[in-house]
Amino acid sequence: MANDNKNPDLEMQDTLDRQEAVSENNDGVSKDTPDKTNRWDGYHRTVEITITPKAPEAQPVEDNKDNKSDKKKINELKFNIVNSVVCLLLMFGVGAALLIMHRESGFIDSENRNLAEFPDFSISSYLSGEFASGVTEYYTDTIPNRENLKKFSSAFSDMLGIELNDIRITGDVAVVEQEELDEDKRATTTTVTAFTGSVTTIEPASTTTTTTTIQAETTTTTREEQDVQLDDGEWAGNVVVAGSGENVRAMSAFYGTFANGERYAQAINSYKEFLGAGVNVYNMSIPLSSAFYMPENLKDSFSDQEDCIENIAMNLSGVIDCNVYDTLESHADEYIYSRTDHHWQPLGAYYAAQVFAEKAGVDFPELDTYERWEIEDFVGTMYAYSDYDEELNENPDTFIYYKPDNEYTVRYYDTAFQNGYEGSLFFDYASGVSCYSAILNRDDQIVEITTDCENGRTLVIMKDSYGNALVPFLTNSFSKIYVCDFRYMDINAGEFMQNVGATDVLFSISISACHTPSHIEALGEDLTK
Amino acid sequence: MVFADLFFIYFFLPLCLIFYFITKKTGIRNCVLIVFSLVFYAWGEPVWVCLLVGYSLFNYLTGLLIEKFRGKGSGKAALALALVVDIGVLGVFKYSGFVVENINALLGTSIAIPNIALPIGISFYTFQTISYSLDCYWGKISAQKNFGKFLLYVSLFPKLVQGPIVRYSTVAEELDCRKTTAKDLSDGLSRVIMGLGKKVIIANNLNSVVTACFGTVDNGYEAINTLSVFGTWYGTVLVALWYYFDFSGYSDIAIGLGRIFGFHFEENFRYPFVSKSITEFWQRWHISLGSFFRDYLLYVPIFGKRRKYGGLFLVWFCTGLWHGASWNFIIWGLYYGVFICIEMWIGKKRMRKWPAVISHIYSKIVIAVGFGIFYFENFGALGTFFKALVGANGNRLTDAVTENLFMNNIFLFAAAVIFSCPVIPKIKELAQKRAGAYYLARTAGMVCNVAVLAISSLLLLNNTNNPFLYFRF
Repeated sequence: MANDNKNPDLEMQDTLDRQEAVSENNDGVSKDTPDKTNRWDGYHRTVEITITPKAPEAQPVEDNKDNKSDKKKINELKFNIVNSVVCLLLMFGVGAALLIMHRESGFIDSENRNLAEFPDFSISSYLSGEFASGVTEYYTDTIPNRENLKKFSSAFSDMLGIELNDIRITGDVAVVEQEELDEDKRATTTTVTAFTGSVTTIEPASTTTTTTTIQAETTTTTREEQDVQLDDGEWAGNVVVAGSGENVRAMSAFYGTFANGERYAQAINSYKEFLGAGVNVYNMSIPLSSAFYMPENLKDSFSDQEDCIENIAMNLSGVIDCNVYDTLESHADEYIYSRTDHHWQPLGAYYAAQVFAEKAGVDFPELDTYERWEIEDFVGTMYAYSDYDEELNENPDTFIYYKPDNEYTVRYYDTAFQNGYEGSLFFDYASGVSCYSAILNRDDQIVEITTDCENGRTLVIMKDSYGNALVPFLTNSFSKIYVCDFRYMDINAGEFMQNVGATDVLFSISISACHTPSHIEALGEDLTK
Repeated sequence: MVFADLFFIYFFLPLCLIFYFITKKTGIRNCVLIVFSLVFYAWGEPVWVCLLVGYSLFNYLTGLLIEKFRGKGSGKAALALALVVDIGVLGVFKYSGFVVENINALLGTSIAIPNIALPIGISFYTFQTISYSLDCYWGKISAQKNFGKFLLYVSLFPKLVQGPIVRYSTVAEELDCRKTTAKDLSDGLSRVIMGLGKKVIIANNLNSVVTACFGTVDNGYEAINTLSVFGTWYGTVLVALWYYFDFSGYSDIAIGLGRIFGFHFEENFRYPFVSKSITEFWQRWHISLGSFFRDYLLYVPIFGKRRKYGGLFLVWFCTGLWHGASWNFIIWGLYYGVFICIEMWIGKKRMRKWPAVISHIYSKIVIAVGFGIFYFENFGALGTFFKALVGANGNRLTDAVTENLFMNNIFLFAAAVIFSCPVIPKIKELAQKRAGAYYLARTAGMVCNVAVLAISSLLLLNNTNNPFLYFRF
């Protein structure tokens, strides 16, 4: 295609180019304001540039270079051809390679999703534009060797600047003004303690009634949408990565406000009101790793998690405050939070569960009575949230979890407390990004655990994914444990608690979810379903 | 379809080039381009591609009528019909929602707001046909007799969806007969790759820093609330750079693709940030739009003797409105109108006497703040932005996050600033002086082409990766 070039063309093109350059220079020096330009000025200029073969200004330049111009033109032609060939070869070569090479497919761990598949053609999918966008997505999504090639993006973004104090910030990290706690209110806050006496007075509702009431209220239609609204995606987009080597750690910035904390506390209070004095209601708002590991110079930039937890406590009424901040802080030099994942490590959950057990007045065995399990090469969600910070990928976590030594059985139900089946508390095959799911596997379910503990107490845990790690440490402490994710309830949570005969209800929710309006709403709505 | 996508670069474009260069006959080449252009358009607008063809047919027919009855009353009528329909189409698709919203707000009525999706590129191709009809009416061009060629003019895919607004006169002869020289091909390819690099390497990365500073319309521009004063200025400069690299990158690709096919479109951007005044800025920024309003609106004698200012503000009102159906765009347009008006009062000569430093500081500040207005689509956030600019919202002068953000992207920022100045033309100019320098520059150019194409492709690979939607656990 480069062959259809002939010299006369080239010559004319050359002149045109120089003219363009000249006219550009003129533009730079003397500019007509639009108001004084002739109406046709723009039009005339167009014609001059594209049609007039030679302009007088260009003439002397042409003369000076005349002797050398032949040789130069040939060289220019060569360069033009070589440049075209190089660019086209790259374009056509890669294009052809992408057509014939084997495409990637299936599930990718680091992004926790399936790669796009080639869309089915139909008139409706064409007309809605889905087919075309599907093809485009398939083309890019299944590029051979994608997993390795995409590392380039993050390596490239690292080169865009200098890391200040070994800190890398991804996404939308803003600074917030820290709020001051109201000292007067703190002074008047009353501490509630658990009623730990005999619990035989509370009759658990019979199983048959439970089933019938719930059946009527089963709804499963809006699940898809809820997922998107309520997933942990809140975590994304505000990640601080600090440190290097084995000390690298990714953390979420926390932006909670006291106002939202108060709304959360009121939601918890409404549960207490609903359940009445006979049921102990506890609140454990779990701090994020950023509370303990945020670099000094950034600490003041975000909301203070300790104050936010205290603020919630101050607004609770009749609810037992289960503050685990100090305890976790005192163990901060232990492996209580994952560095590459947004969750804590089960060890952190153990210390938190200990605090809860004390408040609830239940037995709590030592850690060494548990069987210790490990999953290596745990690169958590923060890898993706940090836009693939390679430092994280190269320094994976180890997920260490503990199995209790007592007897218990586990039944899994759907979110309407239907279709139960027996299962294991642990999923040892968990790997990659989802190691945290080694405990309880998923969130969108209701779990029923019957233990050999004989105190007759029934605990309902209302939790987000943070709460999962607490469960194994409580099998020695309660006769029955129900684990519900407040984001995925399809039945009235209050009635559910009454029906299963709850004696204790624990809200164990990460501090960021406690301050996220959509989550607070979901918590409130669980009482009205 | 968009240019900055692997499917376009490695599938659509090579396929188009093969079919295009398989023959030397311009007629067949035109057919190839029409087919590929319609496929290109249908990729994003599978339904509205019919609108594009029908719309072209309508303007083709009115063009013939305008020419036939030129100078007569019926010629005027044909022009009026063409303009009413062209502006009507744009108005219905782009502004009906906005108009109804404002009527509702003003009169307290509750007319249902029409939910019409905006067909891609409609703002650009309607303006092209408007210029065609007017030029035809004024006798500056003769109407295209061949519908195929007219359809090609309207739908030519390099400039179809995001400009530049190419005048019919620019490409009239090339529709009939054109050649791709080795220089066209080489320069065209280099230009396409440069545009791609501007968009993918610089603009996309600037975009994420802008988001970090200001937030986006989807999250209600949350981040601006807590941004430091320095961060706000940094962010607004980034917005200006981002729009420049995004938009001029797109124009580069359009112009480059045009040259590959033997079309010579006019420049759309001439390093706008070197301007010393706002008047000059608008002669360098989105030139095809500025000259459109200048030629077809400013001198339309509807304002009589006061047309100087009336016309000026009408132009800037329209320029703003053209960018989007929202008040912030109108304010943005009028904001520039005010400064151009002030510059007119001061006078060109007096402005030229200003020290260069002063002119540059003045123009850069006005431009940067202007892009801030452009960015914030809701008034609340815009107000916060202005407060943050002057430190009136009580935020600190600078903070750790701003400093980190700045340092984390300092090379990107430096590259953006450098390449927004005419560095490459300067190198090319110097290289012309000596043969050795010329060889060196051309070789370096080739290496850069390969590198930029490779880097852009690798960065585009990550496009489909959207973990945030998929993470459930």
